[in-house]
Amino acid sequence: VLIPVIGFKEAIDHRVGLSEGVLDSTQALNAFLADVERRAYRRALIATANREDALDIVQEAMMRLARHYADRDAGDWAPLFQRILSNAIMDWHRRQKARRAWDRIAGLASFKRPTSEANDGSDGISEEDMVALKHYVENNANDAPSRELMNERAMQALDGALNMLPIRQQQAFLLRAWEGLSVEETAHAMNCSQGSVKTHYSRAVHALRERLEDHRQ
Amino acid sequence: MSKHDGQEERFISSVNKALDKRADDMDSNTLNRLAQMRRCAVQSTQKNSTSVIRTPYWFVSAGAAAVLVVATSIVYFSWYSPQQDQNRIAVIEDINMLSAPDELELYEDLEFFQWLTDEEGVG
Repeated sequence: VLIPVIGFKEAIDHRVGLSEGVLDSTQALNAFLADVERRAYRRALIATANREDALDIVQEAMMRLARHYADRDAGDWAPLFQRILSNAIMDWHRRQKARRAWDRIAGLASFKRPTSEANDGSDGISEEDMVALKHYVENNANDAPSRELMNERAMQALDGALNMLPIRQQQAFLLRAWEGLSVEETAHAMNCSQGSVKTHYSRAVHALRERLEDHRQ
Repeated sequence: MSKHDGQEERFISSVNKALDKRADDMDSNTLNRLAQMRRCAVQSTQKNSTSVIRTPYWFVSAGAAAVLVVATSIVYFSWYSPQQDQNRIAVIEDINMLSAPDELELYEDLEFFQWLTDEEGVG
């Protein structure tokens, strides 16, 4: 992935053809959204563990970008979109929190997080999935066909492990590690200080690795 | 680079590969939904660009008010035209006449005498 090497914004510009000046603004916006939509959906899905909610979040982010920032310099879209998406995810999370609080008050409490509803395990990830995840992480270079099922379980376990992280840690990890944003860009996307980003990211990496270590023993 | 950093880097690299794979292996239904949402978003910018030159709300309101004033004026002046005023006065006179049954005979006699005078004038 070239993003961390030449910079996130520049990489997006290059991929959607903006740096070459070959697209008009509508085509460029379409190309930009096409380029980021899958990863945006995955981020939203990891945060919500709900397909429809994730799609709603991505749609909201796309619409906001298109309505309010389409006329901005195309090079600004990437950081703006990341920020809009992060805000939409945080808004969803706040609404869920409020709903859970209301449920608790109403005596209909459901203390489990969304992932827990989809899995039987008390921590939201089954033991088998976690073993598969550990296996995947250790041997991802080995692509033997017999590992296909194991890999699928590993993927689900990874989603679950990420979903279990506190939302700020989760977003910091995904933006820094996966999207390749710098600390500064991540801080802008998350609307927090760079120090907070470093803390969230470090804790996220530690928590994920520790969880794997626990299951390795 | 320390051993710890190297392990962390490998760990993150593995997680990234897994996440990339999940993003690449998306089902067609989800991809279609995403494409549809993208088209809607892009179309919304086109609507917005036309809305830049759209008629402002105050202009519509002012236009509606002007039309109302003109319509009211037309109705007013057509209703209160001088000819209609005369007709209305004549109608009122007839009503006065009809509402006074005692004098109806007198009015009929007056009409007779007027006719008689006209006849004599012709003769």
